[in-house]
Amino acid sequence: MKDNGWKGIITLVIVTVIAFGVILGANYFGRGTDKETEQSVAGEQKEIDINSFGNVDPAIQSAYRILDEQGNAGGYKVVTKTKGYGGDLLLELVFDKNGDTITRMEVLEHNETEGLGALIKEPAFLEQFKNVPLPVTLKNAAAEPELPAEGTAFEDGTYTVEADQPDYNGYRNTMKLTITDGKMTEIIWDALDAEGKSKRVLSDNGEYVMTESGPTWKEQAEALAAAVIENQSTDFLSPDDQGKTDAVAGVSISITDFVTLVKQCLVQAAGTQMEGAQTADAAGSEDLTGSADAAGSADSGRGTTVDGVSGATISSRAVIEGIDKGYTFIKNYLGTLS
Amino acid sequence: MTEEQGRKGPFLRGENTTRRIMGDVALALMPALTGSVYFFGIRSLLLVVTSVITCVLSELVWEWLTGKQITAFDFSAVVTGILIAFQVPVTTPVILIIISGIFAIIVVKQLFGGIGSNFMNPALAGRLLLMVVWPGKIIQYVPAAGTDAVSSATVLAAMKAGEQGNYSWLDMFLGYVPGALGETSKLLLLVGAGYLCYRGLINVKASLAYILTVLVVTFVLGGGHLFGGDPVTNLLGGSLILGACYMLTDYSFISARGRLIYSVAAGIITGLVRIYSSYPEGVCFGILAANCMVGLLARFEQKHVYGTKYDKDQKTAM
Repeated sequence: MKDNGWKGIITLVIVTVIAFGVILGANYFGRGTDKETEQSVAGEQKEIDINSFGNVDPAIQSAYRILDEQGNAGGYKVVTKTKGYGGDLLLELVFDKNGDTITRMEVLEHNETEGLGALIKEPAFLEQFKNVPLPVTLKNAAAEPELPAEGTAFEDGTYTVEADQPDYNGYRNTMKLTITDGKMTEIIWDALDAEGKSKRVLSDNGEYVMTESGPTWKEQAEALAAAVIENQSTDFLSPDDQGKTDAVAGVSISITDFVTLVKQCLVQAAGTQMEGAQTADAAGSEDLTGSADAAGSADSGRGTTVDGVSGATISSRAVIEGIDKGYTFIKNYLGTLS
Repeated sequence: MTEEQGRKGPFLRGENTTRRIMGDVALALMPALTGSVYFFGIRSLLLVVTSVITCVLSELVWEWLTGKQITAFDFSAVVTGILIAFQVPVTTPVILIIISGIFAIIVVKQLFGGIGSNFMNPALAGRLLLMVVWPGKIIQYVPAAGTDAVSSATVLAAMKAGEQGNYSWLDMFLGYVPGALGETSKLLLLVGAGYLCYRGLINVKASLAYILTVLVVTFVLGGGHLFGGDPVTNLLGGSLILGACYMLTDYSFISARGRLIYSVAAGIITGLVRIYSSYPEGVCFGILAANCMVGLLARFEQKHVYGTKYDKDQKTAM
């Protein structure tokens, strides 16, 4: 084959220059990229100096104003970093111009387990957050009630609480708490499966097994209950990020739901009304308590409840936390502008 | 059989050497490299240079340690280095590029006997390593320079997520889209491919067969219902052209029919991965899977031995 080396190289250079001319020229004369985006306009991004604000949450990595054609803020973009199950979770959130809803959301970086926590990237999970009122809470997370003030008298009686939704294992938690002479004397924590079978019974029968040699679920639940009755408080439990506690020997199960249910029973015993998150429908949720506090942290009475990724509560919560922090930052930022 | 037929070939050699061929491939990648610097900044050049140096040094050190003939300067490692960098976004940590380059050259190429003996494309294998071990580190795409994009989701990722695309066909063709360093500008990739055609180094039929197969599969099965796929976005949105022109036709020793089967197989797997897996891009998996099939194809699709008469019935040389 005849060697056309230099001729070919020169031709390559010339054609490349022409191609670049086309690329640059197309950009200069406009490429027709005026498709509507979810922001209604695609505009220049101006970085917000987050360091100029005092006490910015360290989860906020960067923030931008997205300008419309008139140079006004058409929206905001915030990048947050939270702790997932496998490591850092980086979220990119695009809010509308009022910071009330998310118009676009993307998981930029994660180290979650493939097939489990990594499902937070899937459209089925992310679509829940688009254009719904903020803040958001997980559907399976029972609302954390405020305990009555210290010294409040508890009425004697037996108080029961049941979770509205089953947990990620398919068990719906229940609790029966008995107050005698103003003190907790009995706590029975149980959970029912889809067929109504009690986890305590299944645990006793060996049908619900934790580990081959360790304490059963029922034994751990009873150990927890005994510890709380002895201390007359749940404060000493101090669950970590994964809901585990070192305060009670032999207890390795997650105790987050247990603590929440105890508090709900005590709230009933103190005769206090409890607020909770509204369940979302496709059109958005209703505001239960009236106008939100725009300059402060999100109002727990409004917002949207969403489904977490089944079996990946920590990953789901990390996403929720990122959204909440981004939302709080934008609301505080907008508050400084008014 | 005559005495000449008994000696092993080849008896006539062309002017092309490995160095010349690989040098031409490296030259053909220069337009896309220049484009990557324009679209993603000088860091893209840093990544490419790092990758090339890593690959060349890895090959050099290995060959020196094992006492083999030094082939590190035949440009094959340079091409591998460029292609590794071309498949990752500009935000990729430099250390990952280095690890990928060492893996591609030493594990995938040299451990199997060096150039011509490796059973898998080293650059694609290096990319696969990053996807499996550090998936989160190589998905941080950024919008290309000259765009007003809000989001950095790639075209295929956005399509897989069911989102309306924010990029026109012209954007995708010219390169004004988020993506890996070398995959975004189809125009510049085709300029380089044109040079390879001029030099007679590209198997156009195989490349076209691969591209057409991907488009057919994604059109028929994609989009959530039969014949609902978007062939144009699948053609222009990912690394299909990069794979078809620069990485598919590594293996050209099998028969013409074998090459066709190889290309179609790669295309089917690429299309199916794009549609049914959680990955928006399937070029890496498709070509690597086809690489693994080459041995099988070579066994059943034997090339006709020159200088002998081929008996179709007996399938032996007479």
